Amino acid sequence: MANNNSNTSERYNLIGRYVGGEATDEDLMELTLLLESKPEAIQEFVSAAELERDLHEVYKVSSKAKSFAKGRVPRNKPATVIKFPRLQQTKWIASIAAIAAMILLAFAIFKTTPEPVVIARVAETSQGAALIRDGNELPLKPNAELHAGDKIKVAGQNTVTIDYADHTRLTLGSAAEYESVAIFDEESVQASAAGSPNSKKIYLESGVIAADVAPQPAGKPMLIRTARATAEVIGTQLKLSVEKESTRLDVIEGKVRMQRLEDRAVAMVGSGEFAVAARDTEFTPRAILKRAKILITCDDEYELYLNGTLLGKRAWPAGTTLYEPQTFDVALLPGSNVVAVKGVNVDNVAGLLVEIQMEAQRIISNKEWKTCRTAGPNWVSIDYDDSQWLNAVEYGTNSTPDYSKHALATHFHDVSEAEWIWSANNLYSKTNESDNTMYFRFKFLSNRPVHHTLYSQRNTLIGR
Amino acid sequence: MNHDVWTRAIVEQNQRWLMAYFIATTGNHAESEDMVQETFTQALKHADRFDASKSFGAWLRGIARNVYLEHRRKSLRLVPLNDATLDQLDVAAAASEEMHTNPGYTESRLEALRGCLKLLSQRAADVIQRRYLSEQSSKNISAALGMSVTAVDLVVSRTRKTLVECVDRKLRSEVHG
Repeated sequence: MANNNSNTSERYNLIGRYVGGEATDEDLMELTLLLESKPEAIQEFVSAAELERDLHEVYKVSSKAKSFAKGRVPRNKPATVIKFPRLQQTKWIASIAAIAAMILLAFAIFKTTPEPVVIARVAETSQGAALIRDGNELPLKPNAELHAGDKIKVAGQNTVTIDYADHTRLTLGSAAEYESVAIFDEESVQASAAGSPNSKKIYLESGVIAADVAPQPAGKPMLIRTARATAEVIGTQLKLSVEKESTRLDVIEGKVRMQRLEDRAVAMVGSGEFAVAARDTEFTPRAILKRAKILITCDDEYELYLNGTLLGKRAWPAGTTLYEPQTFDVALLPGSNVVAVKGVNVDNVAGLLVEIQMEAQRIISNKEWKTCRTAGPNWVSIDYDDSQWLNAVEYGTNSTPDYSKHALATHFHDVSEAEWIWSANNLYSKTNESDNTMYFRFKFLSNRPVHHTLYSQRNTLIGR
Repeated sequence: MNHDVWTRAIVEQNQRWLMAYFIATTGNHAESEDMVQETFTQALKHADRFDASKSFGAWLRGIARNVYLEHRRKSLRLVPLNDATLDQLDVAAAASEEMHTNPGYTESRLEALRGCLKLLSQRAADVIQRRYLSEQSSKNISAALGMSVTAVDLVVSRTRKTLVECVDRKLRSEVHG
């Protein structure tokens, strides 16, 4: 075993010396034998060659230019290998000289370019976010200007907000633990420098970008790339998340052309849809179904509907668990949803208490809810016109001492900001003109504007 | 797209895997740079011979192989690679070409390598930097660091192996978590 390991090491060293240009004559002979006896060693050749190439790139060595500057042929070029005739060698050196001169000239022109083009600015930033420019890592500060090739790195749970001149806004970061890293594309900046209204280009290495993109010029969509896909954005709200083996695009509003790089397949992802680019998975847009939890209790009876569907009801008397909230796990539609409740008071005071918990927002019962003593046949549907209904009246939260004398929903989590609501008259009446039975409706979006919703602290949402 | 932009795009997309191919075949970085350039020159010169219904990468690999064979004809100091080995290198180059179509692949590789370089011992880092950044010979490095030439060569060899394994590990952990 030890012998095998040392053989492997020795073989590797041999290959390393060859690709590094240091092989001796004995090495060449040994390599020839090696390739004849062990063809599988070719993969080691390839790995070693790739490393050699990358080391030169990392150290940015142009061995030819350097060697010329030092007045000698490259170290790696064995003098005996290529028998250039004297004249040809002179020509060769002269042509290298010309190339080197051109490189130096180009470099000089580049270096004397007065001001780098500002592509965007940092509007807000969390602590610990970093700007990586020309290989140097600096702390990222608000109002920092972003240039070509700038890389922004933000740790999990933190965010950086970036504004473009056209009011396009990006938020980099996520509620997850992994780091978000985005590079602002060099090409787009070069083009901007030339005065052309070129596409915005971002390469998202990891993490999440939420974008609220202003309408982009015709033929110049904003491009957000990841290792697996490209999203072309014309003007929309979206979220793009890079996982280890997939890229997911969520479109809140508008339409985005997404291309999977693996096979160049294209998906047009519309409002309320998402698509995932990954190996061996279906690449088609699907509706974003958001999970939510509805907590409800009523003094006294209720029927609860979501988007026209009856979720549950409770009749009085409910026994010892009176006012204990009921919980419903539901899937919301992308975009508009409506929750509708019929509440019935059978005695004393009346009240309805509701909270809808979503991943990144909460809907609570309050005076923004609509209420009416009578409702048309279709009152539970999204399209029902409730514009003539009145606003509900708030009677305090569940933890308000005064209200709790009348009704206290135990186990409705204590710090909820949801209000007990009813009409202006919340006392039981035996007259026909009473508010004993009331209808309630509240319309809401499952996807509020991205920058308000994406980055809430997910862990604190449920059971806070 | 104008001609220059097209040429640049072709070069950018293909130069890295071509470079690795030539380094593997010739064991010489400087010559490999010339051979990559020669491959592109040949490709542009004979662009009309390219059959658009076929793979561009495969066509380019064919040219690269000819450039190598032509080079081998003139060179004495090369490992004589047989056809089977050249075929295997061709397959490896095709795989590398595919990897390079992923935007960010190059940067991830270089980033991984930079990360691995930071993990090296002071001595190994010093030797590698002198070898690749200042292009010093083993003899000069040995004089500067008070080591024998053999020791310098050994450090370089071992560090190469360490780096290949480290980069590989980093790239795999990126993919598989």
